[in-house]
Amino acid sequence: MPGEDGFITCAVCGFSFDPSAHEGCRACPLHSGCVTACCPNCGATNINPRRSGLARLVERLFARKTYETPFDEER
Amino acid sequence: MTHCHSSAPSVPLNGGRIALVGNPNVGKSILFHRLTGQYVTVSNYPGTTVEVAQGAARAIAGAVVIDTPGIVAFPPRSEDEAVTARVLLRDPLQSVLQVGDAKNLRRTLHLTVQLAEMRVPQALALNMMDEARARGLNPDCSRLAGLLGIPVACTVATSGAGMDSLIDAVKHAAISKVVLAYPPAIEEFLASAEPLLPEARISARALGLLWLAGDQQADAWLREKAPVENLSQLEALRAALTGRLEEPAYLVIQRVREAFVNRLAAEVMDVSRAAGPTFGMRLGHLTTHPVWGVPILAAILYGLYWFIGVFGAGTLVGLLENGLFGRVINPWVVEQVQRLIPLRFFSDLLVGEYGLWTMGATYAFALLLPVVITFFLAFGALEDSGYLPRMAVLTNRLFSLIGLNGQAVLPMVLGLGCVTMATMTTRILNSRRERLLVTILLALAVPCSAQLGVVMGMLAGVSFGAALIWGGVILAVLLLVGWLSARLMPGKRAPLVVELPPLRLPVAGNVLVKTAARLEWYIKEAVPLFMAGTLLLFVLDKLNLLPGLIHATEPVITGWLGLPPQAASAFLLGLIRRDFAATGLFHMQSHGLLSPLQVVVSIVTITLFIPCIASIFMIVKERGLRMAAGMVVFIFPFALLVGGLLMRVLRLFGWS
Repeated sequence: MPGEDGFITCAVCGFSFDPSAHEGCRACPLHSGCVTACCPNCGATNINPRRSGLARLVERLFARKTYETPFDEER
Repeated sequence: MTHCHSSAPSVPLNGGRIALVGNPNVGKSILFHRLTGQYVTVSNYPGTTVEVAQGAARAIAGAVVIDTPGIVAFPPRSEDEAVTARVLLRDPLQSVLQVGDAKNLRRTLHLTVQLAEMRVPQALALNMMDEARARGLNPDCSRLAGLLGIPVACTVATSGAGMDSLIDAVKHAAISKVVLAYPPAIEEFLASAEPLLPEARISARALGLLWLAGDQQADAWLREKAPVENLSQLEALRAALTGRLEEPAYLVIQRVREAFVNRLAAEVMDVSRAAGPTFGMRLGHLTTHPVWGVPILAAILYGLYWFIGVFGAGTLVGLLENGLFGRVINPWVVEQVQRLIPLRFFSDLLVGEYGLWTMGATYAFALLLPVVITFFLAFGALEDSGYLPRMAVLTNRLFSLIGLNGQAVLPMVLGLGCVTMATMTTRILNSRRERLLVTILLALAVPCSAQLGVVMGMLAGVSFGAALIWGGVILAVLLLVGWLSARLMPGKRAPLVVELPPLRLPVAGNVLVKTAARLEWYIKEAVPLFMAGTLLLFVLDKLNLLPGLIHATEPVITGWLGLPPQAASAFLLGLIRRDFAATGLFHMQSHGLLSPLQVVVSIVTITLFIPCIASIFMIVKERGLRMAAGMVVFIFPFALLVGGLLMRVLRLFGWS
């Protein structure tokens, strides 16, 4: 899941990386429709949730719920 | 966070290049972005396909920071690591900033010592201090700086703590005072070799040690720069040394470094307040244990079988297919379509036996969607918990039996999510042999998420014993084909080196977001193909070709595999997507058209069947048309052969 800083965690090696940091992708003609991101640590191809409208929707729903928990209010 | 100056004189920084060097997964890239900001350029390192990022340092006027690929130690073992060695050997550097993991101090210091021997101005960022302290580890940065003679900054890259100290440390990068004493034979070799070595960007001593340890980059550099007669003398010196040593030179060198690093780490690491291993750490250790790891893996697989097979494919599919679609949606849609479209041909196209709605959409949304949702939830939970890399470590032992490279396990694990993406990931493998071997195994015997979900659902409808038979046959085929391929393509096996993230409880939000992203991707990729497959069957049916095709395949489908003739249309769909075929078989099973024996035989055959169209395109792209065609020619009859043999064996054991 991308954190607030946009980092995602690789499924294979657990490495956290910023999928937008790879300028090579921007040169790719298929980039605009591509939902994958390559882990710079192990090279595994991951789904990039930032590219999915459905994932962004779920993220927003979940984020709102998180902020409403008493734990966060106490903090 | 603290920054500690060494007593050594620092090197003035006047706008040179600063190489960021470190082990993989130590937060190097995050620190790089913190040092450089947004505006960085990424390009292939000259003569390689490895990307290297560089950008202007925000807080150091005129300086450029280069983010080198993570390296475990010198000599490098992969193309990526080799680029780091090339940067150090060939690029004019102002200084080297090493980023190290504070919780793995010895591993960090092993690289520090190697960099110190190069006599390049260096600074050390001891990163992940928060995680180290949480484990009760308190490295004394000040003492470390004093002992190494270089500035050391303690940082937390994710939060940005210690960045000011780090920038100060980089500005005061210094040549380390560390000099290691090697056994007399090696010291004598170095004394004789150093005058023969051409001037380099790193010290002659470090260059000599690298070359002695078999570093290919150092060897290539020497062959390029050193006069031929010097090279001959160096080779003679090395041969003489090898005769004097009882074990390979690189091992002797490594031992000396290890002893020094152990002493240094003991001196600077305060472990007085170290807490004992947490439950998560102990469990993490058990998951990779050669004995205890196996029952843990078995328990996880059983949990997956229950959640995806019994709950997803049983309960949820029952509710959706029989309930919502079977009783509510489909009767209404059929009625409306037949009322609005009187022409039989067009109404059949939508709601006939091979209708886009009654077959394509119903298969995709009523049968497959609950299965893939449960699979993606389970896969996401495993991924978020940090178990997948551990599974790679555990299964690595199994794959080592067939001579497969350890790194090759990673795409295989990823293949359980999507074979197409895993085929793309085979790029990370170092040799052509490994890439080819793993692509064959992925195409043949690694079922993707949707297919695996349907398979589990079908097996749950038979028995757990059937699941064990299916798993056993697929594993046996994987090992046999892998072993045979490895014999045909002999090569050197390299160990698996993978960073293990901490084992933790999956975070619900992470799992849900990943599931949503995968689901969207799956719907976009699979549903159009489902519709195309249904359309193909519809056209064949309307042209009266389908009965002929079913009849033509009867000797194989009915005669050899012992399946009902209708299974032919499912296998026909398998030419487009294996999971589509599996869904067709699942549909037949749920309507009582398959016996337990036929269920096991059909799903073993379809698991080994040719991969989906997207995977084939990816194989063509990655391995070439000839290789892709060769794989299809092998896989197609092989899957049928295994299925038929299994049917006969199971019959011998009384299955019907």
